[in-house]
Amino acid sequence: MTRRLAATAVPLLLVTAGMALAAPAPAWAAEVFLEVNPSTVEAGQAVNLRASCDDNTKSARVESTAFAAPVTVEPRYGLLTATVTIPADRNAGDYSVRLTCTGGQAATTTLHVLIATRPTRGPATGFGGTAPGDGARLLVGGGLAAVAAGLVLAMVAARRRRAGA
Amino acid sequence: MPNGRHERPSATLARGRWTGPAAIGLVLAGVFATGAGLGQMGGGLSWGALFDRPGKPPPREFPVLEPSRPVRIAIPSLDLRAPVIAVGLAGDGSIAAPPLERHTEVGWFDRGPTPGQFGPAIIVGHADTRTGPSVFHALRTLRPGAAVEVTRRDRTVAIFEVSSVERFAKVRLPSDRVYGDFSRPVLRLITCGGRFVPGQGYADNVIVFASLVGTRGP
Repeated sequence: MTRRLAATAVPLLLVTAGMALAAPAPAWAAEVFLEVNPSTVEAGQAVNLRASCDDNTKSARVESTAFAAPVTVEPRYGLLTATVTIPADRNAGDYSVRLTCTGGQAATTTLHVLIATRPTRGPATGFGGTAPGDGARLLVGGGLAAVAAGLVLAMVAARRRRAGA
Repeated sequence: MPNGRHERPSATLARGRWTGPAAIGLVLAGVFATGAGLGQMGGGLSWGALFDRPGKPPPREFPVLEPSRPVRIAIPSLDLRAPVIAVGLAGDGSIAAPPLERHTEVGWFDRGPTPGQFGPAIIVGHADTRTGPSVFHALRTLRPGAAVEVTRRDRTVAIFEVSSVERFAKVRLPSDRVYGDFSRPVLRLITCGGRFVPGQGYADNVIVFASLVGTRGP
């Protein structure tokens, strides 16, 4: 009997303990956050940081191995913001970015870094199977010439008729 | 020259009778030949292009997705569906296209963003093979506002809306516009167009500029 009681009591205790721990967590999470915009960037380009702590009148620290040095986000419009340039020598990959508030709360997000690749030449995406041959060009040229000849002939005919009348 | 007319009345009459129909015949034949020639050339001139709106501005609000490789592309208005494979750079420094034996598939440039991430996801496809049309042959007829759906490995579907369809000389691509827009998730579909130079390939690229407007699934 006592054993059974203990058996039911332990999970109950765990559930209540879990609830007590879990309950305040969403409230914290809603207020403490970190955003990187854009969240995908070419190495060498800048990103904007937008963060929020419990107290947004005090600056906070944002760290990442993608940055050259830790960044301080400063109060602005009720949030904490900063702009940081990703050094051009960073490798492509996903970098964790971590916010640490003065109160000790923290938030993380991910920054995706790419290597700038801007090929100067467009890709070769055709083998010419549907390319127009010389025939098409001849048709257009000949057709335009025929139209011109027809119009000249019509003008000549009209003038002749008028002169003849 | 009042006398000139009366010297050979029969000749003048005969010429007067035939010049009118001949002129009409020549003009009709000319218009027909020109039309047929332009039809064969394709791309150079299309009725749609004459009435084209300059382009559709991208939306102010847009979703952003986490990275995931593209696996399929669908363009309902062209009745186009194709698998997507990853491609890198070709020997000449341009983006590689899928090999000829896989010309019905398209290639996603795997050094750029995936479709739905911030930045330009680039997908290239062949316009034709040596003998006939290929997967992106009809790309130049795509209109602003059309939908392009890219299914990704995480099974989400990134839905893009075409902003504009443009053509550039291969050696003069506006690289900032094509590769440099990281302000939102965008898509660039690239194929060939313009004049075909034997031994060198097509002189131009047709590029579809599109922006992410929605997502679906999984």
